Amino acid sequence: MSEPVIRVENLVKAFPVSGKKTLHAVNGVSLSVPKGAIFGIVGESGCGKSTLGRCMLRLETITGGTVTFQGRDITNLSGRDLLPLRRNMQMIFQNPYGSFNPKQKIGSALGEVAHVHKMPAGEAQEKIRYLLHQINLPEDTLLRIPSEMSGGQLQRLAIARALLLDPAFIVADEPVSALDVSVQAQILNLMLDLRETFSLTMLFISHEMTVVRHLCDRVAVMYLGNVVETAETEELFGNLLHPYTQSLMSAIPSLDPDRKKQRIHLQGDIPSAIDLPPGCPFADRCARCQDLCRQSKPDLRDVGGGHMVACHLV
Amino acid sequence: MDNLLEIKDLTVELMSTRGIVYALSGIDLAIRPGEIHGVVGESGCGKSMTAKSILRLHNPQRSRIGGSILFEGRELLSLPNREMEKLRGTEIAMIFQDPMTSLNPLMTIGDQIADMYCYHTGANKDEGRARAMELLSLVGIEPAEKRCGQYPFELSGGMQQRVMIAMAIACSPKLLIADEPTTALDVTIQAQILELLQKLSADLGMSILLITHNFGVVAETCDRVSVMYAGKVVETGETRALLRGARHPYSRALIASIPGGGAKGSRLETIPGAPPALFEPPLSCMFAPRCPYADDTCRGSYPGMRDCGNGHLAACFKPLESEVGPR
Repeated sequence: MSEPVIRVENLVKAFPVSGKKTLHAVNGVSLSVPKGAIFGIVGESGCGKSTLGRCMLRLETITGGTVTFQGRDITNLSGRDLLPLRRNMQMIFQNPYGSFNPKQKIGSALGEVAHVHKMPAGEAQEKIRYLLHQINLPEDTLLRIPSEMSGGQLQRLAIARALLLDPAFIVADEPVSALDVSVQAQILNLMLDLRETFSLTMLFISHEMTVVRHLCDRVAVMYLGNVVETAETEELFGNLLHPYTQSLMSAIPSLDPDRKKQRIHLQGDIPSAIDLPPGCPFADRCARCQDLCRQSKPDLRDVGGGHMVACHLV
Repeated sequence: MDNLLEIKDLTVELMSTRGIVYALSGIDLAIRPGEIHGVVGESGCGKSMTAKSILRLHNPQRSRIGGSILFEGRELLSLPNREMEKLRGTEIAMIFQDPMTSLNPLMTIGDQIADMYCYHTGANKDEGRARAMELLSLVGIEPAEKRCGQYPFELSGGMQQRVMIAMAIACSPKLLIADEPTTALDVTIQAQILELLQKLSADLGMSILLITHNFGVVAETCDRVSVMYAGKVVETGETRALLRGARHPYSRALIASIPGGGAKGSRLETIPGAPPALFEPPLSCMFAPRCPYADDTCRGSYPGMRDCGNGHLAACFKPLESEVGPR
């Protein structure tokens, strides 16, 4: 495997909250995304998946650990030093209507990105036309404003905008969650196509296991700021090892009405990320929890073939 | 079997600044006593509009409603407002997608449930409080005595939705309309709420109209399901029969576009084009412009709901063969 495009080691992001407490949104995550790979992050709301993505793009300051991008430590870069990096890392957001200026024509919105990063205007125009062709939208799209576009069309444009500067790394934060299932299918197909054409390297954040399974090469499951299990997609979904991953999978409603599966009941809600207990983050909801789990936090360890699990019992 | 609710040729036209929107153009839907009936479709297809029409929640000045909605043989559309008000909450109740905005943030959950119970039944405060406790334990909020005094912000989204359900079933309604009740929740919480709804339906003999965009939710919870497209019901049938072998090309394509069936990285089935804007009255099959099987008949006239056997209805001139195969 070649040198990863981006690597995080033991990343910690803590936010101060009222009452002099700390919220540990990301709590010691290590992962690396090799060139040309789509790395999936799944987890329920509040598990820290979006914060992780934002930290990797350095949209947040980092509390602890390191972020290495293209071999360079970017953990503590600030302000002006980050600007050249931004060109190489882009983000696609969940709600396309929220990520375009509602009064700005699409052409101008795309052109602005090129302008900020000092791409010559002629080259930018050509690139924008090429990308429009790639995402199957007509050229007169450039004269429209976001409210004239459908959610799916606008999300395509958000993808085109992210690709405009040929970034080395893209974070897609729930890019299909706001879309209807038939439109979602169009966008996922588009991503698969673009991935071939542009050899994209991407962190794909989603709460939907089925989407991640379809698109990603490697998947990490997060719970309460920690990666609890990570493996190649086929390996992970074929061999669920962590009790949380197992219950998460069993909670997904299956399309097959005949498949009456053994549902693993998860009691209660995700605990608060403020004042984390010392043991395993999942201990409170785990059916197999033992004394050891409450006392010490399990490390993420390799159980063979790059399949890593953070559980004392596996 | 007598139907609890029978919607016949319901049309809803809304006045907008851009003209008349034909939000519902003649839908038929029947809900049997005690069944969980799913309504699926993509955004803007009229799922929520149907729910609102049953409870007559439209602004009468800006909408025109036609057709008929029979609830236990009573015509809801011609019921006087006062009667309708009595019916809402007692015989037909509704829960919404976002529990946080449906609850009063300044009232304890116990008081909110008791308040609504007392309003509808004329019970006194003590009876109301007792009923609230009973309901809270029924929906799995324990210990009820302690939880009664909590405010909505002290509860998680899943717990808030349970409170909404407790409130909705307070007067033992015969029909519960659940409009995307789990869409705002995580999958593990969604599984809990769906299980609760199924249990309540079975224990109380209550019918549920479950509106969702998620076919997985339908497969797990519903007895029968109706698929909507562009203001019409295009197919109705037993959940299993419909998921295994949808007869309408739209239902078939929609189910095929869900990831999970094919191999990783394989292309997903898509439906070309986009749903129509509803500014013109529909005269032909609404799906015809996107349908691979459409011909001049489809483009020229509207196919009514046709029986394809076993009570499976599809609004298509050329319903697909049902193929029963693994998916």
